[in-house]
Amino acid sequence: MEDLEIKGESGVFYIPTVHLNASTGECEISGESYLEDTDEFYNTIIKWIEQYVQEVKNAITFNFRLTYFNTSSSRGILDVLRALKKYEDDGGSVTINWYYPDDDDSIAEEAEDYMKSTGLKINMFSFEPED
Amino acid sequence: MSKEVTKEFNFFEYHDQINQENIILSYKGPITAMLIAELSRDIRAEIQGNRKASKKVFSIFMELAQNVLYYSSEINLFGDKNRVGTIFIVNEDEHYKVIVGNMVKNTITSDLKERCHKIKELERSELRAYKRELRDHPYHNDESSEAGIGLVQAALTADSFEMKIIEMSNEYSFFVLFLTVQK
Repeated sequence: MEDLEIKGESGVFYIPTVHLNASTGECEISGESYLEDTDEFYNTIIKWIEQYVQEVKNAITFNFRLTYFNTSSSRGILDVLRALKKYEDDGGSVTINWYYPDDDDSIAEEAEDYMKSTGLKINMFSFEPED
Repeated sequence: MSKEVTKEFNFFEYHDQINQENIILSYKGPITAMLIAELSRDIRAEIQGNRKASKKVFSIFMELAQNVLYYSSEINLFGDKNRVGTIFIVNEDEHYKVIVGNMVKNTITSDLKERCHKIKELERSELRAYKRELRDHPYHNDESSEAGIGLVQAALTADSFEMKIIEMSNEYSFFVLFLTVQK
């Protein structure tokens, strides 16, 4: 199974950086998310997770390190978390780490809200954002 | 002659107001996704030295401008028939004010009023629960629920939230939101 790599950019839209590693199960999404086609972007990640669950079946660690996302992206993120929750319910080993900028309470609150919505345990860590 | 004088007078008054009130952004016209990204960069460049407030203004602008992009009832007849809205960001002494207006059909104004009233009345924890509800169970093709989550997010980010609806004709009203972010 192939890795998924998306190079983030802040151009016409705000595209997050994505690294999904099929051999280690280490996954990360970082940066800012305001996209032209939000559904397509997050569905690509969800399809990768579904393939990983089918073919690799190893532990998965998903790191979120986002500094901004709009509400449509927040729906996409919820769907990613739901796919991970499904894997956990089916016996998969899933770790979710949520890194939030230390000057942004709303991104920390989002993690709490996602825990309530999905029933997943999300480990929260603050970090100092770069300028 | 009097007509000319009036025009000129209004121009200077308007110009004065823009200078006095320290307007960070003033835009009326068609809104596109690309324009939103472009204006968002201007906002970030304009508000520096207060990272928290800058980020909040940015995020409120993004949500409310996207609501105009998808739901304004006024459509520009030229080009790509984009939806039209008015956006002001004003730098006041104690806070930044974000004002976003667009035309809506009179048929939805009572729903809008009710929704804004609810958003204003709810405590923060209740507002977060309301946002989760809108996000967890999106009703497909339901405009008001799609626009609702953006409003709730903007209200969660802002320090105050006010709305006004002015009836313009038998068919349309002008819907304006006033949100502030403390410095």
